Amino acid sequence: MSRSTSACGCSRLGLLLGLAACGDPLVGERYLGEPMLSFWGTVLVSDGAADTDPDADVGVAVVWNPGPSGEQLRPEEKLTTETDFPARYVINLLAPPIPEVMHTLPDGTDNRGSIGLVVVYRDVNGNGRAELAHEALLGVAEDIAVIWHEGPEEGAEASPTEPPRGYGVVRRTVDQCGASPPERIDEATEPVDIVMGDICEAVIDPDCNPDTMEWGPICGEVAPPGTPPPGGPPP
Amino acid sequence: MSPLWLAAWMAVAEAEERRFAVVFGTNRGDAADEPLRYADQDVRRVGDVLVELGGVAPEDLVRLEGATADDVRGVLRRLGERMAASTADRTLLLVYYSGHADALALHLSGTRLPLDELKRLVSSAPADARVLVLDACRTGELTRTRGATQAQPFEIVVSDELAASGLAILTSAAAGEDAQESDRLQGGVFTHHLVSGMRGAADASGDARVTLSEAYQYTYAQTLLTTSDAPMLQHPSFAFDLTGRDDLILTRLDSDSHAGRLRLALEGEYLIFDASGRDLVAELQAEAGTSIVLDAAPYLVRWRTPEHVFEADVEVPDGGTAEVGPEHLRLLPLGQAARRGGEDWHRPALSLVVGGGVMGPVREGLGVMPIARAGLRLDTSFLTFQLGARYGRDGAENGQLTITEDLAGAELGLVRMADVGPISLGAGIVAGVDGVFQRFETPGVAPARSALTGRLGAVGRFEGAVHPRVSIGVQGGVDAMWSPGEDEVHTEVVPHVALDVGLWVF
Repeated sequence: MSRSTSACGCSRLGLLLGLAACGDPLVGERYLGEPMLSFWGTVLVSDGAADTDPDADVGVAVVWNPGPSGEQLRPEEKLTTETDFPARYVINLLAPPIPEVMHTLPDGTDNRGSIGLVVVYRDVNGNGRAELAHEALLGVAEDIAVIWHEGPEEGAEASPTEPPRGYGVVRRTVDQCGASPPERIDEATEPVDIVMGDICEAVIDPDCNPDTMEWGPICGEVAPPGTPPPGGPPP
Repeated sequence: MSPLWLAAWMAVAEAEERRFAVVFGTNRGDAADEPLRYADQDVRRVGDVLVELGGVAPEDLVRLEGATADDVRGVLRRLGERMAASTADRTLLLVYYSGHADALALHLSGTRLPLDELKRLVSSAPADARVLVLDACRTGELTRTRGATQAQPFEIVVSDELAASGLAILTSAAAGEDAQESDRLQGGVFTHHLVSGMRGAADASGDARVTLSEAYQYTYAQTLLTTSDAPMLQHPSFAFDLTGRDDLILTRLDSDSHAGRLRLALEGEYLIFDASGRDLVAELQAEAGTSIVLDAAPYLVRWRTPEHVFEADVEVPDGGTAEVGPEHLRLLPLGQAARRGGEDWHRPALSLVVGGGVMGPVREGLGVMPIARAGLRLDTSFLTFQLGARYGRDGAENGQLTITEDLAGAELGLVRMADVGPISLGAGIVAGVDGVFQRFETPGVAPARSALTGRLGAVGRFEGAVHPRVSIGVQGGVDAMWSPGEDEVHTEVVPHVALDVGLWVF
């Protein structure tokens, strides 16, 4: 009798102590932080594209334009991806771009930031990371760019002409090399679709002018992670 | 008279007296009676002391365990025939019973023996003196029906009035009272003190003889003291119808060749255990210099003062005397004293405790957390209560961000401790709440988090005293720890272990 009473008492105490658990959800070692940008979309397969079986080891990634001083695209490492191939993916960007891919944005101001493309690749070495020098690029979100505005430091007085510090997703609204400003999209509701195929016809800087920052399908070298830009890191 | 002459005279006197005894009892009474646990054990103890010190030859002692009414009738009849055939100048019959009873009859394994019949059987036995001792509920009726009133221990003057012939009746409780058993004493309270008294604790005169009146006075006082914490006091009662001038000697403390004497140099309360410290052999309130007779064996002697408990290991020699004095007694650590002082000592020990240790991660991958602990501990006779606080910090780095986690909380523990010599071992439960605070260093976004967690776990404890007031202990266990998760309460099994130092403040 007393033993069952005691067990009942312990379970009640346990329930009470369980109810005491309140507050913010605690996290473990795998916690990477909150997404600074989260967007989603689908991977589309164009007609006639070769080697575009979405069931294979396919990943999605964001690659940064290295800017005027760079020659290689830089894959973003601090992100998480959730894929439900053959169609759906989600990308979470967890940190600002590295300083090596920061440069003056092609918006006619002195605003600094980074421009990145959303790509799909075959994970040739199977390590789950977008080491693009070793992977095969399969496609790109052609009219979409991921923009990071450097903006003023937190607490600094914001300029009325300068967008706030942070990420955004923009869509090119005119043809290649057009002058129209990109249009910000609501990445929470609008998908960022990626077309697999026709990669070699694309370039990230179609007018070959490194002072401007247009984007388009990729046709350039891709730097493996950790590769310093030519001439060393910026001061 | 020279000692030699005295010894010779006593030898002759003892040779002319023959003592018979019937000790019987049963744990099982009527169907409605709750079975007793120690009645048969009481029978064995009384039989042993009568043979060892009471002058009853083994062949003249009849023990009946699990007795029925017919067993008792038959034994008394046969023993009466033997007494009648005895050629001794003088015979004494002692009848002892331990078991259930009511105001009218003994309850013997589903049968009943009316008290009047028992009294008639004993009274009619062909003995010069008869002693009937009943350790059973409500048998005080037996003394009351004779017109005797409940006797007070120090009001009766027995040395002149109580004589060596006739009938004396001792009962363990007054009319209407319950006789009580004690798990601690592992026997009936009355019988325990009666046996202790017969072994010497009752020898108030210090003449190595325990008389019937000395035994009664001692047993009355000790039974009353022991039951003073119980729901009902128990008053032994006494009635006599004896003639003559000499008090009846129940036991002679120098009569057993296979026993020795233990002399207790200091006045106070003594608990005497076997060498293992588990079985209580005797409990007595002794005057300075009191001697009791025990089997030649090693013993653990515990002496209590109002503030402290002392222990001594002593070996009672065969035919000799061992002494326990101040030089033999060692002061018990206060925590052990709280547990080992006895149920009626009731002196808890409070200590301040500080320590440190490690505990498992609250969440996967966060690593072992060093913790500091401080608190209070209260050792009582049954449980040790722990009230404490703890603080710990750990962290992790995963390439994306650095996690720093602080934990601060309070806990309450209930631990049952057991002492094995100077070492104490324990097991129990601990419950508590902790505040957990997580901070992050990252180039991204990771707001700090804070949460309240609950925990409940099992602990084990190992403790040793390095001084009567200082202990060092190791305590470890496993907790179930509940903390808020993304969608539901998260449960983590968290092991922990800590080393602590305790300082008993009283």
